[in-house]
Amino acid sequence: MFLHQGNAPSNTLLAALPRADRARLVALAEPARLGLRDAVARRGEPFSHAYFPLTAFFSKVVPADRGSLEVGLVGFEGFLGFPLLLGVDLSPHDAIVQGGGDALRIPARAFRRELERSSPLRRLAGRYTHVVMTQLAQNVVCNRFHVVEQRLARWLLMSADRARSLNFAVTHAFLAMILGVRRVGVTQAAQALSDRGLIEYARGRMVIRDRRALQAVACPCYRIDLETYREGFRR
Amino acid sequence: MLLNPPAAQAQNRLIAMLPPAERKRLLERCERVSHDLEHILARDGEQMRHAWFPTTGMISQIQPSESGWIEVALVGFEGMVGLGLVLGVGKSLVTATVQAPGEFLRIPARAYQAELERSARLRKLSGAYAYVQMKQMALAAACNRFHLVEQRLARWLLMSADRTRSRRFRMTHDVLAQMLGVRRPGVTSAASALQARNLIRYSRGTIDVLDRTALEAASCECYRAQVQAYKGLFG
Repeated sequence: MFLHQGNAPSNTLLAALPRADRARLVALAEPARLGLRDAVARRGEPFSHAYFPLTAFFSKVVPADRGSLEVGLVGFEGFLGFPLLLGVDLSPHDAIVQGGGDALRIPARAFRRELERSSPLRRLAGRYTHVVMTQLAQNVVCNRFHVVEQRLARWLLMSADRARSLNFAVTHAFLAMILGVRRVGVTQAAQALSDRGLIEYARGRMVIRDRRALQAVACPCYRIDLETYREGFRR
Repeated sequence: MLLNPPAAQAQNRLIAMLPPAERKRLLERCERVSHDLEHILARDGEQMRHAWFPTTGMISQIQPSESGWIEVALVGFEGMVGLGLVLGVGKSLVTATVQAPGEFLRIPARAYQAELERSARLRKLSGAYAYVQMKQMALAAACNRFHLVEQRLARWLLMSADRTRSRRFRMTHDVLAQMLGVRRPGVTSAASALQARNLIRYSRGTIDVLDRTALEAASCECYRAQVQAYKGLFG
């Protein structure tokens, strides 16, 4: 599986901060309950908040000729708003809630002030940004070379990690949008995985039946992303 | 639509934008080096010993993978290589190779990081450039998935022409194929199509851009988007 997962919903980055820095950041935060498809950031617009997902997770998408394409997923292992660390207020992508749930959010200005003040926060945010950019480079490879079935398997595993569940809501139309393929392509790939007993899909819910076999089907990008993350946070 | 070069030929635009005292301090730590085509400056995942600010040379940022290599970003006088250092990690995100021979300003990693600590303006410029490069990578993810080889080749030639301030470059079909993540015959037929319309001339490893305006029309929207992403922050 992904990373350390405690019982209480938490965010890995927040949990990794020294106590005093975490307390200051959490004091600035407000809880947000987010529903499927809520937009938490819009491309080209200033970030209203930095988000630290607890149980929610977000899909970062860029527009493309046929709809859009996902360029990253962010859940409890990360945060949304790294451009604020780089001194840029504008969101480079749309960020849409892909797993409904809870997050802590901090107004963008307060978050920037805290970045100035807390070097552990800067350091963690820098490491996470490095991880995200490395994963983005891997996504360039993935979108170019890997077939829909591999990419679908990868995406399901990434989502299951962030949902902390093998059972989550998703539609074929949404999958087609984020994978940048036609809907029929997703339907065929999902059918192939389902025929082999790896997943079950009914009425907008996806259930992973055989995680290990799904990992074998996924392109290496799934494993590489995890390694990038682990490597990025190793002391 | 074109990237604005710095006033002097042997300058880097990011460095040129620094206030005089900070520019002078940075330049004192830099060494001017010349590199040939395909010289490897940094390998993905390895510790960076230097940051590079191209003046007349151009650097290709490449993501290696088991399925093939692909270019994720191009860097010339408008940018720098060393985002790992900006993010406080010190490791190279991707592999950086010289794509157009020329001159580069090279600064030891530690000296660059010390300057980042000291100069808020350098931090701001470096952060903003990291953002631009991240946008370039996200564009590449979508472009490589959706656009035809001919469009992508046109985009690549325009981006290279901007960064080398030249309409002629040395380039083999093999290297082009690798940059675009396609097979060689795909590049050959795309180049032939552009040549047949008198947009470029290709012979014995040299490409000449003959009709820049028409090449812009033949390129996908990503060329313009990538220039806008830069100009949005740097003018």
